[in-house]
Amino acid sequence: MAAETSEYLKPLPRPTPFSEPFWEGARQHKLLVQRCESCGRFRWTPQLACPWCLAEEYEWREASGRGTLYSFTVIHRPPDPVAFAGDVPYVLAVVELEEGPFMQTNLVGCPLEAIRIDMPVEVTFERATEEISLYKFRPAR
Amino acid sequence: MPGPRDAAIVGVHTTHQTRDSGGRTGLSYGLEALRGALDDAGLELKDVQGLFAQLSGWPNAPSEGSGYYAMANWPYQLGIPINWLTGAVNAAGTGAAAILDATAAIRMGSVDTVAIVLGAARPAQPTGKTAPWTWNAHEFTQWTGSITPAQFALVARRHMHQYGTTPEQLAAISVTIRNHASINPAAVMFQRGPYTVDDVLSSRMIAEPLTVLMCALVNDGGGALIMTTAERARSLRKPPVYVLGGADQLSYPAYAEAPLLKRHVGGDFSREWVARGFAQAGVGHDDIDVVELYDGFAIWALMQLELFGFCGEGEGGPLAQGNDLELDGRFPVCTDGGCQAFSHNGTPSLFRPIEAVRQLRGEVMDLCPGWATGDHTYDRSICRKVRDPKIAFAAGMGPPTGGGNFCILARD
Repeated sequence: MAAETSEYLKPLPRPTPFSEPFWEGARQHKLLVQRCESCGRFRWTPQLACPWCLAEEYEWREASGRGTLYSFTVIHRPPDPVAFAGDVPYVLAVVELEEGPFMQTNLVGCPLEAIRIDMPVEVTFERATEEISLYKFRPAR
Repeated sequence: MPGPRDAAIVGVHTTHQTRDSGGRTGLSYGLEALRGALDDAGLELKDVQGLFAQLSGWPNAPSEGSGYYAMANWPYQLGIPINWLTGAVNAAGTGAAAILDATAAIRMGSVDTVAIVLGAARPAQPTGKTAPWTWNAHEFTQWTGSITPAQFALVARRHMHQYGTTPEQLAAISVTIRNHASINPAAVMFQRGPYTVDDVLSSRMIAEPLTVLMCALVNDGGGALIMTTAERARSLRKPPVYVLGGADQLSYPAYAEAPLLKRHVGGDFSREWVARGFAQAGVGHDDIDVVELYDGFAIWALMQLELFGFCGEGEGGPLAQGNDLELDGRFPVCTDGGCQAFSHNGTPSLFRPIEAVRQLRGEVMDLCPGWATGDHTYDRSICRKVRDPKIAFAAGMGPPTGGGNFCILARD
């Protein structure tokens, strides 16, 4: 979309060596989350150790991409009016993944009046730059 | 067992709070406040051994950075050695948490006299951008276009879903708080209002369901508070206000992780710490005469009533709609106008206990002709003084859900 032809003005994530596997997955439209190799629980955001059992061993596992809408807000006052000019009003959301973790994200592809808490949603990827594809959610199909 | 009354607040000061500071720095506000609070107590700078200070805008500070290195600028600037500053790196800044920390330091005998100083002036922002502290510079958060009000809006929406809280109830608590500022000449929003629920609901939408009148101000200003031993306090200029107790709970990395009404690792947030703080103070909720919530957003104020036990889980909305939070009600809240209408300079935690102290002392500036000598009319169109308060509650900064801190204060 616009990102292909013009500069992406909104803030972009800066991957680190630790998080790069996640962003590599996102480029391939896979939602990777850490799974603890000791207790088997999934966690988000990426952490060095499991918040349940403190084990440090984990693997990146592809999540189903399905979840439910825990909460949302429609933002009318963006942090930067120029960069977000084409988005306002946009939807900030918290999604509870099927695997358990909660993700802060944007809800897209849904008329504002149709948004309902606990509605089923699914991940969709939006290419921002060559390096970064953003994980957003839309109503489940 | 209630803690001993061995630490007291003996001096307070707030500077002019303004949205047009004309280039003053945070240090300038902080120094003015410190001088004012020392003068209020009848103490001098050389009496201070402990310092909790939070500033924005200290150009040319000798040492850059945060924590220890930033704090090391203080003894140099003030020309006195500082013997206690550990709590100054507490993320809760200079509010109730600092008062609890200072109480512990005084109780332990590490220091006699402590200054808590706050000063903030906004760096110039590119046109139209939100205040710097509303940016969440985090790898998995910032790209979503979140701003601080939106974090609270997420909490509000879930609270509405879970408990039936309504936008009218959110508006109601902002009306109560803002109307205290409209008769407070020291408030940024002095003479604005009085507001109705409809005024708040129809003001500009920021992040649904929060309108601009449900959100904190953005302004500049400073404040300071002086504490010392109870023994020394008895010989000073003003009647001492004792620190009875309090508590603090960290819950999750706010603004980086999603705000939830439960713990990220499952289960409910603990309430035991709040009970512990009240037990330490030796008081119950109905003993509290003034409730200075940290009211940055309407939902935060409402949820603090639940968090701190002034009502049950999910009952903040109905409580906000009655008269209980009014100046003659059970729990008068944010009697100066709070973060929403008195002042929010980025880190305004200290203003909550300062207002609590002023109510306890009877030093309440309002539109009563005799306020300066303590003569109040209790006509609520011009008077914001609570009747004969003895015990006050002051909350400090915390995350949108699951934590925060508070102290309980009492006059003799």
